[in-house]
Amino acid sequence: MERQAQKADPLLVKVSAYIILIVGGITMLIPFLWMIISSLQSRAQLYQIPPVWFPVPPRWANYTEVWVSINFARYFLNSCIVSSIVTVSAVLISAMGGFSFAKYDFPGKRALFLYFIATLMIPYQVTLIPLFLIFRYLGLLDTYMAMILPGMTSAFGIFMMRQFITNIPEDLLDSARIDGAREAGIFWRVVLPNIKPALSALAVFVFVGIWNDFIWPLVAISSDELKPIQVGLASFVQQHSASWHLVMAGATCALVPVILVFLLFQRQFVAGVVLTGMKE
Amino acid sequence: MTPATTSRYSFQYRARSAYLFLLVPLVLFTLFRNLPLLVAFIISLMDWDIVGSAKWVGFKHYLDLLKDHNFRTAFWNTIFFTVGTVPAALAGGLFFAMVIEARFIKFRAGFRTLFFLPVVSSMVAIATVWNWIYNPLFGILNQLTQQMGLGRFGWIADDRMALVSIMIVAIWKTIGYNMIIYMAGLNGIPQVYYEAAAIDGATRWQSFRHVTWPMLRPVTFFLVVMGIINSFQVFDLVYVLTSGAMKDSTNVLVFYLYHKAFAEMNLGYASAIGYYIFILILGVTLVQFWSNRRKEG
Repeated sequence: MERQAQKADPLLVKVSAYIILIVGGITMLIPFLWMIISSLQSRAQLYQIPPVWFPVPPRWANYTEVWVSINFARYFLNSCIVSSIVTVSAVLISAMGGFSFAKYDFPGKRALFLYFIATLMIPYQVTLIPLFLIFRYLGLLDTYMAMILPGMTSAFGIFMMRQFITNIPEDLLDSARIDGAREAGIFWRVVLPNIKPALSALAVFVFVGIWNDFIWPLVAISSDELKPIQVGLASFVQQHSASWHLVMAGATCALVPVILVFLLFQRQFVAGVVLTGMKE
Repeated sequence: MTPATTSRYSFQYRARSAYLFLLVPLVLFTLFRNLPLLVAFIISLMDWDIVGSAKWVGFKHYLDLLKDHNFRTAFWNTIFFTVGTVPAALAGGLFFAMVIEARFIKFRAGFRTLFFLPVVSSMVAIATVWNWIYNPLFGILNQLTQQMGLGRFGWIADDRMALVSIMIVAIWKTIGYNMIIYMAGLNGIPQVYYEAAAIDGATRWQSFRHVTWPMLRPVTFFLVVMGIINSFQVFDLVYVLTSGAMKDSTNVLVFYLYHKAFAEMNLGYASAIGYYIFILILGVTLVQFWSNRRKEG
């Protein structure tokens, strides 16, 4: 009976499935669309009822204004510098750690691995005050270094790299050793090229995380010239909460790089996300 | 295999290389992850405003916090936030995952991208956009509700609705993540189970109830734990949507920590809040660990 009922109206099932996905998809998309539309409106259009869905002509000047006179160019540059340095170094450091745990035997291996992995259980916020004090002690508060150094430590990265490097056949490493390669050379010329997909997945992961990071730079950075874009955006909102067209232009700038990276590396990113979910 | 002439094959040489590879990570992790956890505990036992000298007070802050009205409010708000967002985002994620994984769906990758956009987007930018959407006077949401005949609402500006408004954004942002993980979980269920259920004459609901749901149990469990941990750490969303102002209606644990530490410079007290958060999260993680062990053992 039931099976017949299921077969009887596949069209209805199909149509409703598509409707559900389209409605859901639009719900996900609309805030972004509204952000872009608002970012192209004039101040007058902003407050019009009914809302102006197609601002003609689009006011591109909002972007120039945000970019030039409200320092977003600088915020953007800061975020680019910090994110790229952190991404490259966090991936390298994770690979080094992962290689060590995957391919060597040494006293204290288990304990050391736990020492790294246990940091997964430490919420970032608990270490906020000590980090602030440590960087204050080092004289590195309000510098790029303050944003860069803590970002380099990814316990997930070490774990992930260990998983992938374990799969590299031992023979490959040994034949390089027989050819006279040193361990560092093996890491550089054998291990890294063999885990390229994993490296790019982790890189995308780290990049998105550090680009979006907020609470630590909020605490560590005080001068306007050094603010990353998230902090710059948040302080701009607090100062100019009536200029929503400019705020939306700023928010768009804060989102574009991550969305671009996501669209370009979608496969790697999703693979990374699924891996975090399946690591249990 | 080769004689000891080439010491590079020796255990000592290998071990030394391993330590060398671990040196940089070890220093960084110690300085910026593990040591701070210890330091946080020590500071939590002191009275310190960063400029003056620190005074040892033992567990006073931990006891004071239990009687602190703001802390209790922040705690219950965090719990309310967690209980409200985690199941909703879970149900939404599973629902959309099941629809998108239906055999006949085309453009699957396109839909997946749409649902995942909010996940990768920064919380600050998202919160900023929603702040504008929620605007009581000119926000698009009130124009929509008014057209639907529901009237206008205060959203974030209304103390009774503020936290729920924040939760809506959190749910909207997490559904895509849960969906992706559930999609992977659904793909991992062997098709033969469904075929067997169909032969037994199972309805759609019955095959969901007796095949899909039990098979997804580990995934659901993982997502619940992750959801709880993330909810306990909610900050960016609250900070941006409330313009950094501490209010009873929207105060959450991390926000209170931030406020105590960097607005009032009460570092010891704030560190004690941090340790309570740490203990709560550790508890959740250990429950997960323990029940995983039990399942395997």
